[in-house]
Amino acid sequence: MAIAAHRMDAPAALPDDLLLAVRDLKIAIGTDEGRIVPVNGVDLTLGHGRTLGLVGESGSGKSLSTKALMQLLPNTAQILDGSQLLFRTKQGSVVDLAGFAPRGKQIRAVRGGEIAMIFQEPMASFSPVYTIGNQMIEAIRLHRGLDKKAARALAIDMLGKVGLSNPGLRVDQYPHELSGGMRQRAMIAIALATNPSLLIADEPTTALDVTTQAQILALIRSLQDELGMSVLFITHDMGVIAQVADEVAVMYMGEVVEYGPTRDVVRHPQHPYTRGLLAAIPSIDQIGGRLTPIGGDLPSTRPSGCPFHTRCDQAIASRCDTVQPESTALGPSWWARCHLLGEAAS
Amino acid sequence: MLILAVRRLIGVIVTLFLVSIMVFAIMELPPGDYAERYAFRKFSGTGVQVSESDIQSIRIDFGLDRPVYERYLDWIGGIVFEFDFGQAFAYETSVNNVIGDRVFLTLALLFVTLILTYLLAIPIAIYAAVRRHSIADYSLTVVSYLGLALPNFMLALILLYVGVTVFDLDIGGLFSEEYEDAPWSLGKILDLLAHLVIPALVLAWSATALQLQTVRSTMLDELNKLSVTAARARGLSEWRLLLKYPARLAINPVVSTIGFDVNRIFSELPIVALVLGLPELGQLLVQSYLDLDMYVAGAILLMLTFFIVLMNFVSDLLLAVLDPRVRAREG
Amino acid sequence: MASINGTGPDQRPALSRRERREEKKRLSYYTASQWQLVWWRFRRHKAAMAGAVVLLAIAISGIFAEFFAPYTPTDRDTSYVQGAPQIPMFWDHNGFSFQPFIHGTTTERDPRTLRQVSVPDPDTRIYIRFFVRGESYDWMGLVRSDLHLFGAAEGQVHLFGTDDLGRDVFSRTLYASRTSLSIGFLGVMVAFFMALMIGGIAGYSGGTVDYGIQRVTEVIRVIPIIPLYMGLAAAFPSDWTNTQVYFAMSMVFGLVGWPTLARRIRGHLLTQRNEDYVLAARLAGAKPRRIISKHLLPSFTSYIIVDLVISFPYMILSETALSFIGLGLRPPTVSWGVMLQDAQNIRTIEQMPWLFLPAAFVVIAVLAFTVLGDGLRDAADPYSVSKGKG
Repeated sequence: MAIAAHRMDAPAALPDDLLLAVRDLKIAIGTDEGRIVPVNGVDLTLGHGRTLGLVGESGSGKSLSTKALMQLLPNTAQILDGSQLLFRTKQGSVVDLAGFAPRGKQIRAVRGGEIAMIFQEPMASFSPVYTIGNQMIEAIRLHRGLDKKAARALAIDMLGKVGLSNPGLRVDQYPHELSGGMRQRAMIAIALATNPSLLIADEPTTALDVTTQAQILALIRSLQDELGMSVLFITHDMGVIAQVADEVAVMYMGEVVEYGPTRDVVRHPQHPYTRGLLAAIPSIDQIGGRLTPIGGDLPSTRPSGCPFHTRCDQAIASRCDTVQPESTALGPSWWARCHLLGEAAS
Repeated sequence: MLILAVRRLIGVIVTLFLVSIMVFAIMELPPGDYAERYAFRKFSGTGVQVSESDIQSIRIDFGLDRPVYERYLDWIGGIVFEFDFGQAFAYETSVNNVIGDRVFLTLALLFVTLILTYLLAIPIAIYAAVRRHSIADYSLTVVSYLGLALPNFMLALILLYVGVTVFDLDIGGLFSEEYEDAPWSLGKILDLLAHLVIPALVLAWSATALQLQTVRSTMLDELNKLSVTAARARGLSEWRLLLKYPARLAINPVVSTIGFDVNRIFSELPIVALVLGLPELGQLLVQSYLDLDMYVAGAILLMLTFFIVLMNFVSDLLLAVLDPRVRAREG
Repeated sequence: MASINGTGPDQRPALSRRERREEKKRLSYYTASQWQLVWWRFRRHKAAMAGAVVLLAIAISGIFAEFFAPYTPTDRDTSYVQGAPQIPMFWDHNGFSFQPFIHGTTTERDPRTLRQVSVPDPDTRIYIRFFVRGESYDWMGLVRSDLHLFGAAEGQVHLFGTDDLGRDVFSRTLYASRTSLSIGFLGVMVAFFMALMIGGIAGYSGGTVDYGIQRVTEVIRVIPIIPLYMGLAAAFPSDWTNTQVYFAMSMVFGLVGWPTLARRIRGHLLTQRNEDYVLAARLAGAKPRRIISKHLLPSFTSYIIVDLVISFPYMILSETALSFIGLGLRPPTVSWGVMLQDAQNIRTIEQMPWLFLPAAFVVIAVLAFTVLGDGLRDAADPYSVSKGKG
């Protein structure tokens, strides 16, 4: 497996205010039908203590991109040469995560210790045969070097922090003894117990009901204020993004098509796909009106030119279907990839 | 946990009761009755003419003239309350005497086989699943297919053949000549264990093949679980991770099928015992079937099934110990 | 993943000829019947295809044993008793021949055991002829003929050698295939019928009936199966004819072999009977039998077939085991188990290892059934395509 070479000579290219910069991330997967490239040139940046929302349909490559950060890709996948995953460690050095071996010691120190992750299904992300405490203490001892007793105390403390009642009891309970919302809280407690500087939240609220969802989102926000970690929040729900994210990156077929401050992107979406996503959210003042879905389905293979042209009602014939759009700057940290924007600018 | 144990125990008793009826029915199946067979066996070749009234008196002697349910109650009552399995006609002694210490030889063979099965199957299958598509994995698939296709008794015959032609060695039997009729001693026990290895390997053959497949496929399932990814995302080292998460769960189906394995081993035991000349229950069972000595056969069938039901019970309890979800579900 | 990936119809670009063909293929995929899909998936499974071919070969050679076997199972070649297998050759030290031949034999007396033994004579050639006239036979009471696939120009040829009565092991093995496979087939059919009835009743009625049936099923599953078979087989009266024993054996296999499949059917019915479409059928006034046979079972047919194929080898192995220890079929009936009975003691195997050849047939047949069953299971599972890529 060819892994992008660890470029020891050029790790410093990360501005001080950033925790993470993903540059031209490409991931290839070998399948029975041949090689596919589900992530094809992703660019992202994430500042200290900020929340970046990563939004897109299923299959847009958002989960895969974040898994690459922790080298948790399936065996059949590989990060292609030229991809950069620059990350600032707690000690202040900048490393390229793309160069770490998936089973190596370096990445293991990052996993949990520097970057923690929570998942869509809290039930499935726990092993059913160990207590919550067991799975928590294991991580704490690994990354904080505490003894069993201290680790247990910290675990109970964290469970309290995430708002579980009676944490001293919860620590010895099994995952199936908790409700869905409580499990997700416990999962957050495990993730944050090791004091990571980045929390990746992979659709953490999708499997929960609406009230629980709001509670979990509020919890993540308040913990972020308290602990100061950055959050990379993955979702397919533009509504959730508007609630939690400082910046948003909209992904379509393995590419980021629009990136910018959430407020700007939500109010004035520039890419037709972003507009489509926003139009598909139900809202109070639209009652009685009809939702506007994005027409068509995700194509099975990446179309030539702009990947969205097959579903775009503003596609320019013989341009959008042949030429891949470059990114057009729309503000200091706001850009989109669309030929329509290029037209307007020129 | 206690509730579960009690509930399972009641299930065990109900099952054993139904099993005893079934076994008794099999004992009653052969045409004619014991009196006729007894008379035939006793007097054939002696030139004595056996009349219908002679048979009738034998019948009364053995209580065979009473209705079926009375005889069943008599039989099962004797077993339950006095541990008396009745009369062995072919040997003209009690079933208990005929069976003797064969029970212990059978159990020794069973446990050595079970231990061998799990020691072989679990680590190899886990390794093959982790190193999927490796040579080890493919050879495991081949072996487990062969294990299902090559019956144990044929394996026993092949081993016998190889033993005799290549090593000039008789691998049958459970004891060396000097210990055959000797009283029990440490030497005899060690001798027995040495002789148990080949029969146990033969008996473990198909059970191992099956468990290899089960453990491998569970392990593959478990490896893809989100909980494994989550644990990996916490920074655990790969081997520790594998052993703590997927491997731990891949053992569950093994534990839950202990009774099934015992069943399989007992099912194959009689024929393997016959081929390898093992003086234990299975071989005696075949002999008593051929002799139509149904009290002996019934006793053995009941004992074998009893152990299976018992091991099922043990496996249920073990599973509850191992898996908190089972405890939660069944109290 | 087999999701539907069509682009919108209005944006479909003009298609080339090749693309149109692809498109047609793709469309036929979506409109194909369940069985077509199963067949397409099965065809890709090479091991299973090989298994099917091997089984077909064994079955055909068994069904037409009279034609494929050069001799009858009881025919004795007194000049070649306990003879080793004769492997047809095309060349020897005397040169090459287009027609396969074997070496002739001369009888000598073994200096040690003083028994008559046949020794190959490398200077005489006996040619193998194809489509020869031999002993006449009556195939299934339908066709009378004396045509055999092959035979020796003079004397007899024994591909697998002969047993201690001078009977041709190859011919006997072919006849045995017929017995062993057919008894397995009958057993599977009886088991299938029983499972359908019992599992159907348990699954459809639920409640007390289900509980009772479950208990009985449990008892049959808990008694070790071969000892149970043996107990039932021991009860066959000794004056029964071979035909009676043959049918009784397949009945026994069927009567004991149903629980696994019955459990599957019951489980399926229990989950399905509360589905809306069943309720709809019931409200429309359909009778239980019709609901089971028209609504509940069809969704399950492929699984049932797979289970039947998988249970087949167990029947074959059971027959072999029972006949092997003398509690099953009896000579002069030939089955794989009956033949292996001759190879039971170590002295015989040492002297005539070729008597063990029928065992190879058992192993190959069981292996073929197992890979075939696995292939069918993968093919019948509608999710098997997306599986593994998840």
